[in-house]
Amino acid sequence: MDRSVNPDSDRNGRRKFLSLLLGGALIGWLGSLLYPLARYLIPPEIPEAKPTTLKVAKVDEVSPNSALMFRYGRKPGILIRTQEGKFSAFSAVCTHLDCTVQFRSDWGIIWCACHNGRYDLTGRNIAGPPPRPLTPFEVNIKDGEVYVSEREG
Amino acid sequence: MANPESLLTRLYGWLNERFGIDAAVAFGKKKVVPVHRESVWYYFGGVTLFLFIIQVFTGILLLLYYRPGADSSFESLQFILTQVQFGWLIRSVHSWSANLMVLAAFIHMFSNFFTQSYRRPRELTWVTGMALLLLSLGFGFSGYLLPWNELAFFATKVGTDIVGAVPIVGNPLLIFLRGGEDVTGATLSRFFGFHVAVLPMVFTLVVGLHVLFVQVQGMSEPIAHQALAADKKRTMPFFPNFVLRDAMLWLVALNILAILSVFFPWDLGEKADLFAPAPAGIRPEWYFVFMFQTLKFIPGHVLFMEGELLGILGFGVAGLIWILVPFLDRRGQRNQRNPLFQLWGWIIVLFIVVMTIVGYIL
Amino acid sequence: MILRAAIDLRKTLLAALLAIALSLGLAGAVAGKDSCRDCHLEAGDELAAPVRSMDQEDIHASRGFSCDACHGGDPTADDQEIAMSKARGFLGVPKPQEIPAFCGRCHADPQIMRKYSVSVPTDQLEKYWTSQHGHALKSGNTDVATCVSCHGVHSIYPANNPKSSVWPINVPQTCNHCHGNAGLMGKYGLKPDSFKEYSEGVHGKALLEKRDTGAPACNDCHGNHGAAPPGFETVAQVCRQCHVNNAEMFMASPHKAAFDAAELPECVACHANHRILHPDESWLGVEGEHSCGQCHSKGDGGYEVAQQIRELVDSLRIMEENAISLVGQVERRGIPVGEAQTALADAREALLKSRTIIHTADVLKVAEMAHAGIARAAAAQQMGQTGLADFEFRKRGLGVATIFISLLILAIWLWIRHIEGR
Repeated sequence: MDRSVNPDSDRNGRRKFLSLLLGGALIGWLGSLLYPLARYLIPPEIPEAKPTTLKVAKVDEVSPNSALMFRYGRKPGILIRTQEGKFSAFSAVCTHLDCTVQFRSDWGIIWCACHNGRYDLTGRNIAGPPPRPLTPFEVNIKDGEVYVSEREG
Repeated sequence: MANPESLLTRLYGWLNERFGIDAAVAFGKKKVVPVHRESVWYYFGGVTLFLFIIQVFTGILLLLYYRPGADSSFESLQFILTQVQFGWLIRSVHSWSANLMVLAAFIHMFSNFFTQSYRRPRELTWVTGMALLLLSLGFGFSGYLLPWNELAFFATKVGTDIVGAVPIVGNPLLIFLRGGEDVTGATLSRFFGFHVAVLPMVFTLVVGLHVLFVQVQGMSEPIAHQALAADKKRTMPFFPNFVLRDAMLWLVALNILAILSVFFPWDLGEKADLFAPAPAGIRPEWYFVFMFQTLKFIPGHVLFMEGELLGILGFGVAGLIWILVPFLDRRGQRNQRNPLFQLWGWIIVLFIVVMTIVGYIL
Repeated sequence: MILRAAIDLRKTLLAALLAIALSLGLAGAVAGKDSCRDCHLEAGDELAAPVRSMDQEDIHASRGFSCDACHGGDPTADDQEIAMSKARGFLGVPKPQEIPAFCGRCHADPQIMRKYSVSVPTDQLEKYWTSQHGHALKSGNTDVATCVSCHGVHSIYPANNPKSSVWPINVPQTCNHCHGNAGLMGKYGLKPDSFKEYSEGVHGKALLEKRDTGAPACNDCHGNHGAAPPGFETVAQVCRQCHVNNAEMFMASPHKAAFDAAELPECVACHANHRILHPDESWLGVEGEHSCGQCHSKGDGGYEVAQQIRELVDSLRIMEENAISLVGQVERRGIPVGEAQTALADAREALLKSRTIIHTADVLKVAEMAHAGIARAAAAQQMGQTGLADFEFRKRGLGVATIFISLLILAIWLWIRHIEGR
């Protein structure tokens, strides 16, 4: 097309092209903005932040004089059920050098295999290198489920 | 069949009948922006405002999932970062935009200083601008605590300790800020209230004033430009020319935010532990570093005063003088350049830059 | 009248003086007059030293004992001849060979000790005679340690007092007084560098540098009163006090019988006794000066087992290291890695357990644990890969957004040019 022939229609043509470009780019940009926004606003499957209370097991899953290892956040935890049926839970991180402790039903104690550290079933350090008791968790039984949460204070 | 143009025209007409928009449009059409060597600095006020709008927007989005509280702040933020779709993006944009906004504000402030745009009749624009800077720093300081991670906890502790060192008002102020003697969940609640309610309200009011002043008085011209004959002054219409350029710049800023968020995502760190000792090399956000580093350099005791106190009072006095610059610059009042002030300005800029760098190297 | 009053006054005064003298004398007897302390302190220098060093924290002083409790004599007598006479039971300074019995007069008698501490043991003397020190002393060798060599003589603190020479953290230095003396040790064919070696080892570092009183000092392995080196076939029992699994696994393994037959000192054969270092995988397999290849040669059953075990543990370690590195990369890119880190923690635990299970010398047992660990490490690796893919998605999204933004910026710029007629 010869530019000098009809400058007005040229300008109109340019204007239409630019409008189209602007409109198209605007829509594309808005799309790239609104897509993440929409995904963000849609609630995720787990509707709320994991509360600090963890459902660890059903009461029937843990027989007396046995224990269950679980994960509390990133750290290991140990849920104990005594011979009498009482539940207690502790951080399973040994207070000596951070090994993971285990329940010894034969000795009725919590034991650390690394250096023979021993804790009684209240978490108190009773023999070996551990300098402090295990950090206790709060245990709540509700509707046949065992819930573990951090102790207040 | 809806013709978009006539629909818009009809809508305009309907509103105009009721609110007299014509007058506003006429005003808008008249608005011009001076074009000269320093014109590029005109954009920085708008960029700061744009970044503030981004902050409000992303802040509200974060607010939909964030739960303040010593037991839930960190966890809810972890949730946003791991479970919420694009939560990482909103969060990183919010953190980066905060920093870029303060940077833009500093540039905006210094460019106005060096072009003496605070000269008569624009003194109050400068003063409200300084108020906005202080509010922005308040936003930064209060927002920083909200993730309730180790870094934030200790930075807040150190920062409020420094406030407490001010004589007479220091301790009551410290208790007011912290919601008690120490930094605890009570501090978190307060800072949250300041950050999402008090500061936004005050900021909006002040920015409204600030922008209103600019609208009523028009853009300031550098002295050299002002002295030119009317026909020699080049201008550009605000609508649409300046606005379109503004839009381009804002889009660039937005893209930069996205790039930063993808390649330099903001860390969450470890949850705050009130009983743990402070990690080594703790320092506040970069825009406080120059003050922090200066305080560290001042010896423990200077004459009869405690070094830290001297430093705080020094900065207080310096800040006050800075706010009063429009009234102190007599030559500026007479529309004259002021080489002494210019020199001081450069010394201050150099001081801030050098101290910030030193704060990171040492 | 005045005379009578004066006589009365004199009587009163005399009576008063007498009363005072009597009560002083009584007081002297009742309120613990201690002529030993007084005279020796006055004498100064060497003679005063024992009194000065017996401070309030000294275990005997704190129970109200003074010099006479051990040395006999009469602390109420001012006259040295009387106070230090045989008639008053004075024993003087015991000779080295006499010291164990000297202390044992009380410390080996439960009926006496019970009065001061119901739970304190009273078998120290009996044990001492079974020790190397005790044997030597009995045959007249006075080079060896007696009670006072380790416990001190006049400032004796209980073992739980950090000032005590037998406080756990001080024990190695206490033993080192003699056992670090090259001349003395040379006489008996003993090396004088046990302390040096111990402090370079993990136990020494833990006790002396990290001040972890859970770590063993000399007495925890050698015994204190009945101190003797353990026999080569009972070494594992000593280590078993803390390293239960390692020792029990060893004792149930074919190595126990083999080592005993070859008179190799069990755990010490590989791990050394004083300079115990952190072992690593190079101790497994058949190559290297610390490895199983030291005893096993090609063709015997153990050789292959050693190779297999080395391979298993190596694979786990390498997989774990790679996974850690990958997960670290992902974390640095801002992708959440909580689950992956849990898997890594499991893999790490499996590695530690595998390294313990090698003491069974049973390939199947090692394989079981190693494979479990490898599975977790593989899971972590997988999660890491997913994380990297997530990052790629972010980059792609950024690319798309950037394209649209750039297009829009371009469009606006062209529009500006258009309306400004350039």
